[in-house]
Amino acid sequence: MNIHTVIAGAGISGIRAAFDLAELGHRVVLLDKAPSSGGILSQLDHQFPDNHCGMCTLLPMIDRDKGPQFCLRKGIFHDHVTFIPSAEIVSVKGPAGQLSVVVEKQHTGIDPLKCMACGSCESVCPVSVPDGFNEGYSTRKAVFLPVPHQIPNHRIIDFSVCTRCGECVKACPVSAINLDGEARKLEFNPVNAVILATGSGQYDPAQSDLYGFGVLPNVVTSKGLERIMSSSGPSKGQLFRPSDNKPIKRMAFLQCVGSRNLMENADHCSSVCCMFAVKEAVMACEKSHDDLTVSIFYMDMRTFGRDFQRYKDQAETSHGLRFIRCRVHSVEPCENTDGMKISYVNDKGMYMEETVDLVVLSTGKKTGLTHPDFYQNEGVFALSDTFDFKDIGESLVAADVAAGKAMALGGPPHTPEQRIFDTQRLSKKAMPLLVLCQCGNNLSNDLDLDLIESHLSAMPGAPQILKLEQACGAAGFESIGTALTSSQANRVVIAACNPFLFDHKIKALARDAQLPDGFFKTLDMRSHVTGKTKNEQTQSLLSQIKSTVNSLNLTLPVYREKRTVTPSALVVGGGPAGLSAAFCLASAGIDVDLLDKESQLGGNGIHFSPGPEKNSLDKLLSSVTNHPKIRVHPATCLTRHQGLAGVFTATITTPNAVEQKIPHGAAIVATGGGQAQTLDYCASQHNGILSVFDLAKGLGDKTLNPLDFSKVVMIQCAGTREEPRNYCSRICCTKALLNAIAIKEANPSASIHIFYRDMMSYGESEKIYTRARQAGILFIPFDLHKKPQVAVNNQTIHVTGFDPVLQEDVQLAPDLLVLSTGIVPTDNQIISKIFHINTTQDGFLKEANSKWRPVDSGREGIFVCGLARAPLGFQEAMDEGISAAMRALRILGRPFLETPQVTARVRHSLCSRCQACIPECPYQARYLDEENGKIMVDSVSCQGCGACASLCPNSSIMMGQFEEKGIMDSIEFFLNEACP
Amino acid sequence: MMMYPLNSPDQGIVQTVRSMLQELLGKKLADAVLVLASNPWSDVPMPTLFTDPDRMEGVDPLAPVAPVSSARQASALTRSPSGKTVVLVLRPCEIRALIELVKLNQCSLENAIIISMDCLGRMENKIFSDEAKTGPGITERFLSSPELQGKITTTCSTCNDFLPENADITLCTLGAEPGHMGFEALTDKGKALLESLGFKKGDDLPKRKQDIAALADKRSLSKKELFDATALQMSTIDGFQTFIGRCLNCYNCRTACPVCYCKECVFLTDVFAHPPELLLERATRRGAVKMPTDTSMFHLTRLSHIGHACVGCGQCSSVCPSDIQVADMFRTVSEKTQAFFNYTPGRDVTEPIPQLVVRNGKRGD
Repeated sequence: MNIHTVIAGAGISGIRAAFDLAELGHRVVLLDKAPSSGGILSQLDHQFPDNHCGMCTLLPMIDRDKGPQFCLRKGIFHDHVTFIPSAEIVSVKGPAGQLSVVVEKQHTGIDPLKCMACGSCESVCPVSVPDGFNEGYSTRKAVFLPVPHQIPNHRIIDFSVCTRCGECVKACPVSAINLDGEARKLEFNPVNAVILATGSGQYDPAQSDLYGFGVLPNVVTSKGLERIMSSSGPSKGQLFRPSDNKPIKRMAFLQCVGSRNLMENADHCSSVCCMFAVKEAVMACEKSHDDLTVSIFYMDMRTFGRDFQRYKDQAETSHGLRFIRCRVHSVEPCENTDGMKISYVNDKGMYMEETVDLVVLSTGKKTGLTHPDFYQNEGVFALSDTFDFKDIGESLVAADVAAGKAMALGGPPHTPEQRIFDTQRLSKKAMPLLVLCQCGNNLSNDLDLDLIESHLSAMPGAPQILKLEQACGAAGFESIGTALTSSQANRVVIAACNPFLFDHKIKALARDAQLPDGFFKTLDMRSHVTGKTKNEQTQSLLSQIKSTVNSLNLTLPVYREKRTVTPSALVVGGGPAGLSAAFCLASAGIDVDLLDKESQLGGNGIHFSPGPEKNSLDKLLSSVTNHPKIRVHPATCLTRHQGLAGVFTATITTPNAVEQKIPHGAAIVATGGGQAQTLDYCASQHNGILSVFDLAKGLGDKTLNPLDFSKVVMIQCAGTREEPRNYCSRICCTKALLNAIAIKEANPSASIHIFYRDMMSYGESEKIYTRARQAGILFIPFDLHKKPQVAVNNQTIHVTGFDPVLQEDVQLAPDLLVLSTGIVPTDNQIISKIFHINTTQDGFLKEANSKWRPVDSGREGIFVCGLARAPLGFQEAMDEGISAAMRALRILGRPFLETPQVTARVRHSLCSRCQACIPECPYQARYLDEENGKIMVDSVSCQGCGACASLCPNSSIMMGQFEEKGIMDSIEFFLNEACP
Repeated sequence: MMMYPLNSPDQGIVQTVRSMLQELLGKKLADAVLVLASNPWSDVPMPTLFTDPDRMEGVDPLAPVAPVSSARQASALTRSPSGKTVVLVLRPCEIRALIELVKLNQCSLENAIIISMDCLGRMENKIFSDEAKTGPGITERFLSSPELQGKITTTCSTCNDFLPENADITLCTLGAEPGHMGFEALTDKGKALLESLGFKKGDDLPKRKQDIAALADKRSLSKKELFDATALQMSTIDGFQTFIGRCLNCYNCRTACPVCYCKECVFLTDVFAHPPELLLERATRRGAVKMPTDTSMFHLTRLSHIGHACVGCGQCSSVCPSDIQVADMFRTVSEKTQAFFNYTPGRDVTEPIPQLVVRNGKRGD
């Protein structure tokens, strides 16, 4: 089978890109330099805003039977994705679409085909070194599990510390260890594309001696703190100080370590550290039941995501976090204790000192990373800003954009596998085949398989038994296949190892035997080896086999809905996000109906002044309007939207009031937003008071002349970042900085004061902030309780503000006052009702999950992007459009949608229509069919989570493969064993 | 709250209430009335749905009997919108059950007017029938005779929830001499209805507070005794098994229960239709197994399923052919369940059912 794309980097971006392409039916090779997948997030267990993990939310939701729905922290399992750990791309040659990719796979010392993960090697290894997984706060051996909970759980050997004593070789019962192997080269050819998602590293604070990292044991990095607090960490989730394991009472976070520092040549913001620190502070407070004082020393709290400001405010009020605006110079050890002294200057200009138990350095991204030499080859796509730190949601959007580029290079169209089922065999009475794996006789001391065999043979409806020396090898699977061909067995239980290890092989068996995948069950024999007597362990395994056979006998074939997908899309809103979504879909061969309530496409872009943004939008506009696959409906309103993912129908009203029905398979909502108005700061009382956006436009199209202004004052966060509009609009700070620089450069004698709360020049826009300061623009911070005051008297604007450096009020009489009023979404009330999707309290369209499903609405088949979802920059909005299009293509790119194995089903005879399940379905997959008075499940959207089943007061919900009868019978079997 | 006195020493209270309901239909203030009424076919009054005022001669809402919980009938009437206004005359426990059913979308009170009464309890059917045969006017006799009032069911005599909540109108029998009772309007809807029937506002009943307190004290005391005794009996698994030992799986208790609303009970599905092998296997496991099987499972399932919603009507005990005091068990256990969830069934239609509340949080939160 041809590999479509090779992806380097199996962090969340790489995983997302891999699943994007896999869901389109392409085969993907995903590799990582590290011996495990997950990237930096394998070490971070909790993500705000809910402080849960949620990584599994990334798993494919359409056609999810392509892989087990399994914790992504443990590994990546998908029929179309091959994960290769400890591997790197060494060369990429050839033209795009026909690349030859050479990968070097490190020798890890242990043959995964032989290893049975018993761990004997690790127990005899004499080496002990700091464990990188726990950031050095625990130790490991030279042969070790790089991520303790990963599957497959084969260990690897770290040859940089291995003494080659050979003890592990002797200890290995299956001769799986070879200390002398070499790296192997693998070649993939032809490959359509390569995606580089190699990510960034973390700045090493040991480079700087000011904070004592590496010398003072209680100075840790933010990642180190995450490990210290992790339940898979050194203290099993307890928060102790590293030097003496004592509880922590006072903790300080120092922000911007390795970032925003010209001395270190780090003129950038690492974007994520502020929120990371707030999250960790919240977690630390929760862990210590708020018996903890946390101070966060910061320069600007960069809460620039849509919901970040409220999260920070909430953390401040509910946990009493102290936010102190000061860059701490150094950390000094206290005498005779393991504490540390921090000195700083407070907002009153006073010199302060405090002692803390733990100092956390919010270390930013590593600098100086370079792309490999094939980076600019045709067909090689690096994630945008690949070396930057990004919020999870943004990383996924970047991955979708890269996957979109790889997809555009073509490949075979999606041809779903046609399964044939042996209906004759299925309609017969359940006849089970039981495969007992002897695991190369390794289990004979722990489990008595002969006893199991003889016991089962005596059972009524005894299964046919096939005993194999090793089920997992090629010979083993061949024997199972032969046994299935030569018998009438129509259910299969394989008692062997961890089911996830050979999921795809079992699927192949099922396919050949023309049986449903769900009729094959694997159980892990080793989980019964618990240190009890051989007889007890055997009995325990026997119970499980019996109950599994029994419940499988009761399993009936699932009715599988096959929903033919309408292969066209509806895009609502023709701004940057909508345009780029429409273009991406059309390029993938999908018909698009693009609606805009205005008569002219372009959204906010129509106000762009000449420049790169305008050029880019104009190019996109002409591509869209000239694309044969895109039908544009200007000045048109959406009035109704009905149906389910894959088979929606929209009703639109054209300008001449004609109603038209548009069938489509997926919808993208990009209804946009615009600049907010404010009544604060005398906004409408003087024509010298402008918004930041109007000034940018005026300077761009030359209707405003910088030479006309000698005294300029700008006030950031005007009417925003406080209730009721308590969110950051993300782009105003950078816009204000660019405006200020433009005026200053054209008119060097102009004085410019910017009143700000936190300058949100995240990422590389930090350089603009630096440039502005260097240009002599003055910045005065203010707090909400000491906002600058504006008055207009006799046609003069008066601004009075408190300067914390001077510790007194400054009075200014500018001829231009610029207010950063922020962004508001278009009124989404009606649109959210039409689509049955949610909005935030500020009226933005709400995504299903801000981290893991950033452009999915709560309803499958409907996607949200652009300013309608959150304040964004132009490029960010266009990227979200592509991301939404890629999500839509999961549905539109396939001819039909099929019900997966495990979904909820309603037994209508039991259902009392209380409707309690409808609002509680996390996937909005349940609805009341009013015509027939029945509760229905959209079997494509249903993810089989079982929330409805656990809630239903009438037990009317059956989960495929977890039917009540089977579960009751399993209980009965276990009772039999418990009371023999 | 407003009192509308009834001055009807000559007519008798039964006739007064009957006339009021007749007038209500006659003046078209409602389309139908559901109320207890005697009929030629049974020796106890049954819930009856009236639309014709001239057919209402048997109406007897205060009769001390309830052969079936009217909550079930009320829910059947209001399951889906009919566009008609229905007056439901219900006992306090029946209203509580109805409120639980509303929460489960099994009925709606949108077009209903609820009339209730201070509930002095009900007798078992047989006792009522015997007493009724001893002379005319059983209801009036009951209201004035402490001796007859002593013949109410164990459940009623241990019930201290005898005042209606969530009714529009209450007929106040406590604190008044017969013939001088009063209607109390609890809602604007109730007030409007009484006033359109020509009732005039009057003074509160002088002894009402005192009588209520006295009855509540008496009932609470006997309730505590009963619950303590039942809890003691059921404090072990053996005790529980003995309590329900005679259960024959007739499921009468389930049928009579006003809050047992499932369309099809799980005990009627294939989950409990055991094949002979399984029965034999169970017997083999222990050497002997009592039949019918799953009786403990049945009661435990019902306790866990609707224990939170038990309104203490006592119908389950009344209908048990094996004389199992199902209600004593249910009320004793439910009191604890309800206290645990700080939940009172029937208190407030907006109070969410504990099992249907989904809280997102980490384990241990």
